[in-house]
Amino acid sequence: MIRRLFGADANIANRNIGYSKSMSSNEPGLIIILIDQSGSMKNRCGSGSKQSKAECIASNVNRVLAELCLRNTKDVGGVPQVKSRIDISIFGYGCDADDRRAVRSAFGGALDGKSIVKLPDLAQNYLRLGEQGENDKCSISLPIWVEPKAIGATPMGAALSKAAEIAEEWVSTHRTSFPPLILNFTDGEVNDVTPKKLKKIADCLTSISTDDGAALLFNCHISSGKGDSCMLPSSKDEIPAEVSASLLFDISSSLPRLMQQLARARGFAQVDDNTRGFAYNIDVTNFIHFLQIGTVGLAGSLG
Amino acid sequence: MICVPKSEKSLEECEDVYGSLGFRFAISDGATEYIGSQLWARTLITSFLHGFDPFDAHVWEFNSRQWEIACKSLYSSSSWFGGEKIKKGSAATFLGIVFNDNLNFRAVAIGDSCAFHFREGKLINSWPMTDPGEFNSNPTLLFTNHTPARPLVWQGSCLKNDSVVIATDALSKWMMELNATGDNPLAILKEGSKDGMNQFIYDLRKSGKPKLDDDDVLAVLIQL
Repeated sequence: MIRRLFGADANIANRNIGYSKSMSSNEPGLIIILIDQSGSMKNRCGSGSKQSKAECIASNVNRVLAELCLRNTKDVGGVPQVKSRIDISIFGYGCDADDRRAVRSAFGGALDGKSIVKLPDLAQNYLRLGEQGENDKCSISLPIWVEPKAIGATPMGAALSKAAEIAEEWVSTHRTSFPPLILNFTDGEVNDVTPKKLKKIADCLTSISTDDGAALLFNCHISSGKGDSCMLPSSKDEIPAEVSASLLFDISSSLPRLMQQLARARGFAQVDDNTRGFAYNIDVTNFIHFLQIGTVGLAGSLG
Repeated sequence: MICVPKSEKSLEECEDVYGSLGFRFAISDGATEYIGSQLWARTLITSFLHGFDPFDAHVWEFNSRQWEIACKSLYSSSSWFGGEKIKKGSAATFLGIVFNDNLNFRAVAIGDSCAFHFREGKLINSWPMTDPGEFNSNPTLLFTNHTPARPLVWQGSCLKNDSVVIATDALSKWMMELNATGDNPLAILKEGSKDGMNQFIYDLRKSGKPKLDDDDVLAVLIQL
C-alpha cells in the first residue's frame, strides 16, 4: 500500500508547475535589486513629496530589507537568529565620481563591494540605525544598508548584464532553489545600449533558470508626478504610449501564480497569467506595494 | 504521536506542540514568522489542559502577560531584530479536545490544525477543515497582542474502539488528500511508522503521492 505513494510521477508533475519551491536554509532564494542612481533621481518623488526619488527608493528598500530579516528571525535555543533563507544582491547604476558609467554594489561598511550577502550577514552588518519613513508618528529606528545616490547617466544595460552575471553564477550552485528574482527600479530611460540590445540582455537574464523555473525580471518606473501611470498591466493597451514604457513592459516577466495571489491579496483584483511584473510612473504608495509583492510577500509565503 | 520538524530545523526548533492530561488533549502550531511562538503554543496548551479556556478574555490576558515576561527574560535585546520581534508579539493555531466518561467530546479550535474521527478504521469526519483546498498560508491565529476571536466548537460522541487523530496543518492536508484518493490515512500512518517515522515523513516530502508539504509535522492518535 505504501509503495504506491512514492514515485517519480510526483516530481515530474511539480516541474511542470514551477515557481513552487520554498525558500529555506537548505535551498535559499536570491533577490537582486537594481537601483537607478542617475542624476534625475535627485528630483522629488511625485508631487507633494518631501523626498527625492533616490531617498524614496533607498528608504523603502531599507525598510523591506529589515522586514525580510524580521520575517526570517527564529528563536533557536532562546536566541533570536536570522535564518539564511534568502541571498540578497543590491546594485546601483549611474556614474562614479569621475563621471564614468558604473554599476556597483550598493552595500557599504562591512559589506562594501559584496555582490551577494546572506540574510544573517545582512542583519548583523548595517551602516547605522536610522529613522524610517516620513511620518513622525510611526517612524521607528531600523537599520540602514543603502544610501540615496543620484549622479550621471542611466547604464541600465550594464546593470542587467551584471544581474545576469550574478544570477548565472548563483544558479550553478543552487539548482533546486526558487529561481532568481530581479527587481529593477528606475525613473528614466536607458542610455548605454539601444532598446533592441536591452531586450537581448533581458532575454539572456530571464533564460537563466533553476529546476523550479526561469529567472524573473520585474521593472518599476518611479513617478515624476506627471503623465499616465499603470501597475501590473496584462497588455500593452494598459500602458502609457511612451517608448520607455513599452520597452520596460516587453522585458518584464509575467507573474507566477503565487505572486498573482499575493497581488490580489493587496487589492490588485485584475491579475491573471498575462500580468507582467511591471509598474510605470507610479507613486510612492504603489511603489511600496510593488516592492513588497516581489520580496516580503514572496519570501514570507514560501517556507 | 508523530512529531517531525521541518527539514531545515532541529527537533528543538519545532513549533508544533502537543500536550495531554487525563481526557484532555491539545495541539498548537506556532506561527513561524513570529518569535517565541513555541513558547506561546505551550502556554495555550498548558492553560487548556488545566481546564481553562484559552479564548476567555481574562485567561488570554494572563497568558499573554506570561508570554511577554518569559520572552523578555529569554531573548537578548542587544540585537535590533530580537527587540523588534518581541514588539510584534506571537501567534499560534490551537486545537483542544476533551472527552467525558461516555466518550462524548467537545473540541475548540482556531486555525488549521484538525481533528479526524475514524470508526472501524475509516474516516467518518474531519473538522474544522473538510477539504484540502481550504488550507492556505494565512490561517486564523490566536495572537498575544490582539484580543482573541471566538473559537470554532465541535461537539459529538464516539463509540468504543473509535480513533481520533489530531494533527497540525501539513499532515492534516495530506491526510485529506490521501483520503480523497481512496486510501486510508490512518492505516498508512500506522504502517509507515513501523520502519521509522522520520524516514517515512522524509520520503513523503520528497516523492509522496500526495506529496507532504515541508513543514513541521505533528499528529496524535487517541484510541478510545
